[in-house]
Amino acid sequence: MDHNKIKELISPYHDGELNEEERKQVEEHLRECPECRKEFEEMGKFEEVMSKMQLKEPPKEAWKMYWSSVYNRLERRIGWILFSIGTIILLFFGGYKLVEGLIQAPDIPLLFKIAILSVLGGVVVLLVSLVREQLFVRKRERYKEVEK
Amino acid sequence: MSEEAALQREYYLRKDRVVMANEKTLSEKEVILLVKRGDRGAYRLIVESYMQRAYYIALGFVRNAQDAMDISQESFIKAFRRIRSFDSERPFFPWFYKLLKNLCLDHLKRRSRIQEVPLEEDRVLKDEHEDREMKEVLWKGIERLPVEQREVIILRYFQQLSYQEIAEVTGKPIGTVMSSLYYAKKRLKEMIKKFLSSEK
Repeated sequence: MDHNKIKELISPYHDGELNEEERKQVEEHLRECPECRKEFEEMGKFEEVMSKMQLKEPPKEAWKMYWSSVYNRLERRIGWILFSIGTIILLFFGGYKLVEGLIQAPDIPLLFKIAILSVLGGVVVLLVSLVREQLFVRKRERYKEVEK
Repeated sequence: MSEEAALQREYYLRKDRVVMANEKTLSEKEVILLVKRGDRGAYRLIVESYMQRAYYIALGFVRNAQDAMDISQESFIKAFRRIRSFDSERPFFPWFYKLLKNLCLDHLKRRSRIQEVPLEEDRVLKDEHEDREMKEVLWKGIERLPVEQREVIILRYFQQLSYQEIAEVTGKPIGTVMSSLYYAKKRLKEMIKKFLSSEK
């Protein structure tokens, strides 16, 4: 095996991830090559520092509360879905009734009717546009489909 | 009768396992099958088995304790909602890891979009005095690694996974894991070298 290939094996050698044959080849090469010996020593220092690096632990209560947080969020999401469905139905029904009443009302001036219908139409277009944009962004989310 | 009580007619949740009335311990696959039937009690066991691993991986990616906690919990919620599409013949964690990683990357992307100036991140490393400055330099270096190198470093050094386990979790060939680690270590070693020479 050539020098560069062996150099790449120094890291897995340190990690104890080589098979018997590869290990012997690395050990043999290390005896002969000062550059790789230097690499090996540097790797040793690196591994030493890395092995001492530890992430901070959260407070113990965080683990005790973890499941209940997940459970509550799961439950809350179901609540939100039901709430949203109900709200959408009510909004559509209310909107329909409002438009129906407005058109049929004889005492409201035509210009006022047109203005209110225009405002309502504008709100619907804006909402549809917003929802479409959100769906478009989601579809194009760069990392959404990363290695699924 | 509460859901938990109804559950206990069939099996018992113990500290780290699910036990049937006849004392038979259920395997992860059997627990997953219960979860697929919508059993939240069984899902609790899955969550509690992997919550620490999920949190620390998220912390490695997003470098903020509160965000890591939120994202790891959100991943479990997402996993529960998608559990029907999960092949129970396979181990749970690699499938879950993909959801977790994607949520972390989405979060980082959103954060970079919102904040032009980099966020002042939490000190996520334990406060130990030995080699403290060097550890800080290394941690900054890890943050700057490309995602595929950062993830192998997180799994190797903060989860102590073997190369084979990293390959299983990330779904990459072991050769790719080995080379990602090699290049990541090479870059980090360079940073140590620079740090040590600036110290002299």
